[in-house]
Amino acid sequence: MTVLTRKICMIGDFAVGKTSLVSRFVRSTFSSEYHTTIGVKVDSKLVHLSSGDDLKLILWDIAGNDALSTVEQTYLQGAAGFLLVADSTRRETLDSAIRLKQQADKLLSEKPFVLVLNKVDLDTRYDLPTERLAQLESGGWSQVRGSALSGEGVEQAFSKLGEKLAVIL
Amino acid sequence: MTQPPTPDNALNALKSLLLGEERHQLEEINERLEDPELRSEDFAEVLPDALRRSQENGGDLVDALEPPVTQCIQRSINRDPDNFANALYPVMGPAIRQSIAHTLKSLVDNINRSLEQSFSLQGLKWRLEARRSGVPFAEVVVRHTLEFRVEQVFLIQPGSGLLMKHVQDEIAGESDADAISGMLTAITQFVKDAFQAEQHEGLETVALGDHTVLLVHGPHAYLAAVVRGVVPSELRQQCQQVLEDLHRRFRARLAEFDGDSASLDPLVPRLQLCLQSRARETKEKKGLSPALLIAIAIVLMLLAWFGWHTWQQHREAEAWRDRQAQLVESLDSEPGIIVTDVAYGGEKLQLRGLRDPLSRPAADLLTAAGIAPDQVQMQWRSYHDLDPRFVLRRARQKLSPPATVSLDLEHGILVARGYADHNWLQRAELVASAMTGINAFDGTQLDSVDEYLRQEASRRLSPPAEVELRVEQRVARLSGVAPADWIDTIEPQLDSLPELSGIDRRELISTEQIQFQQLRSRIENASVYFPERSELGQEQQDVLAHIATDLRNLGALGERIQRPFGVLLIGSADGFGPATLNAQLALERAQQVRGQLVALGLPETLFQLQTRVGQLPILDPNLRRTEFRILPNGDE
Repeated sequence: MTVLTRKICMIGDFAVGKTSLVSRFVRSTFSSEYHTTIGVKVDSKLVHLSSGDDLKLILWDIAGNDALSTVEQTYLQGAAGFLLVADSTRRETLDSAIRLKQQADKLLSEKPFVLVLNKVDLDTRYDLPTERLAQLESGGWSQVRGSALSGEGVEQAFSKLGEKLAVIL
Repeated sequence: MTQPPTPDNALNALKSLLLGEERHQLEEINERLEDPELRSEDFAEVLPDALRRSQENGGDLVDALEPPVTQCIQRSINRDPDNFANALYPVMGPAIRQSIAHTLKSLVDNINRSLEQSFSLQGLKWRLEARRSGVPFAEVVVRHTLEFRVEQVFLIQPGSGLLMKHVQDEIAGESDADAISGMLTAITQFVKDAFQAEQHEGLETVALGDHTVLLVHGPHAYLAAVVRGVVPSELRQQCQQVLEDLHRRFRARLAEFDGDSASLDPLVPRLQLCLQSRARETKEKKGLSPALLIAIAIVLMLLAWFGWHTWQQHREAEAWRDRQAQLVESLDSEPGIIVTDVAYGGEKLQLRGLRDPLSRPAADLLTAAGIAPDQVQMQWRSYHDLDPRFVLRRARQKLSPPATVSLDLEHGILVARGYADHNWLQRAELVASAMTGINAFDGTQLDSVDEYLRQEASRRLSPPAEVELRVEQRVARLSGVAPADWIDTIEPQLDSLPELSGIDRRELISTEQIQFQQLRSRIENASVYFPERSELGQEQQDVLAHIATDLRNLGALGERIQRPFGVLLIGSADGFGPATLNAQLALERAQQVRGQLVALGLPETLFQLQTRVGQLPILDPNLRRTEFRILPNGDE
């Protein structure tokens, strides 16, 4: 059985927990120091699809910022999809995610994506506007509430993106 | 009749006038094209030349021919494998031989090298390095013995950084090739961005310590070769050629790559061309290496030791079997022992049988056969052996005959000889008659113990004729006369006769005693007479000298028979005249005799003096004398 490979990127504002999500999901080959040197860290992970097939995800964890720099834009090249990550305790990171999505769409011409609302374990500090999220949902933004700390929703986010990618294989 | 000219006819006529020759040629060509036979002929004519030219101009023809030729061969094999085998037969034999020779040579080389590396100082150093760095030993060896080695080759999609194909040599460890190709791409992009490189420019070399990554870029894929060691200049060019070749042959597959790595499997053999390595030049060694010689020596020593050990074990086992057999044989031939069951083998020899309690202890036989008691397990049941020796031995045990009795078994009759008490004889008759193996008891040849003792005492003492020796109730009675020296030997001589309960020699008198008595009588019967007052005449002097001699002899005898004595000198005077004077006279006479005897050499202490005066007042010369009495010491 052949295993298809797909590149996906993790994008989101600074300190929303992208690297922690990846760390939860894979055992990293490279040290996270790459983020501060070249701004990206690459890992791979095999996901099992509901169809029974396997899909190998090459995760490009791009250093966080509210906008993509030139080199970060080149990191997006060839991506089959991406995970948008926002911090559920910081309202402004959702805005950043929306901006980053627009930037990615320009570069990748609307590839499948999943929005991860990270850090839901800190529910007392939940800060996202519900109506805005509902609005995005109705606009086709798949959302997963997750916590890199507890592990909640992590597998689900990657699987969901994997399934979306499988649809357009 | 001519036909009226029509426009068609006219046109044809004009064509034939103008293009008659060409038309003919065209028809001929048409004909050739439509006739397959003619066309095949033409094609056959140009085909060899066409193939040659295509080959000269590039390799496309080989690519084009590869699938149909492969199919042809496969079909041919499927249809008639024998045919193909026959065709290949002349080639296969040498090829297989060569392959085997090559494999064997590599094996020997490998063994040689491994041994060298294992036993040499350098090998030890490399082992330490492998342990310290956690890298497998084989890899450390390869690192040191190869000048360079391409460990891995990545074929990567530019832009996305997706891994298209990955090949690695056998020694390279596991790695996440997907993540590596992603990171390589990210680094390339980062560097390009950082230095604002032109679009067509790209990172070409990444070097770190002993590792170099050669990057060769192409439009649809770039190739990254991970090299360890000193990268030779021609390697980049070779990688470049491989990448170009891939682009030429598989352009479409590369361009349309969508993450399905399996679609690029046909590229693998060409990518593997990049996995090159070159050994460091080493001095050619001829013959067997010293390490191999040492190893062979060790193996030979081990074999020798093993052989010796096995031989020793075999010898010991054989000796053990011999000892067992010897023991069983000696037990079988031992009187009073019957072996009924023997189990050889195993650690212990197991024996079962019958044994007469009077037979020799089995332990003695074990020692003789050189077997320790803990090497044998023996179970004996007692029985009575009817061999005459055992019957006799048992009879001796039961009858406890005195030392003076000897027992013999003669035709089933127990014969007692020697001397014994009547009591023993009675008991022996009773016990012997009840014993197995004895038909009768013969005690007629026994004498009484007294007789035995008499004979034995007589033999030992050899008594003189004047002595009579009798034994009654085990008491030896001696009577008669014998020298004291002989009498003194009696007790020591008879002491060692345990059956003798006593010695009675009250009636035995020594010769010396008799002589003592005789001499005493003579002395006591003698007297020395004084003619006058207390002066001795010559005659009486002589008498006194005899008496002195007798006294000396008596002293010697008394000492011999342990009868010490004193001498009483009794001086006498008659009763005529004054009593006081007479008493004085008697004393003087005794003193006179004593003085004479002392003068003759007898000790003064021997003598005691006594006086006696006659009762009647008459002259009696017979009373003018001195008498002698022998006084046993302590008796008076």
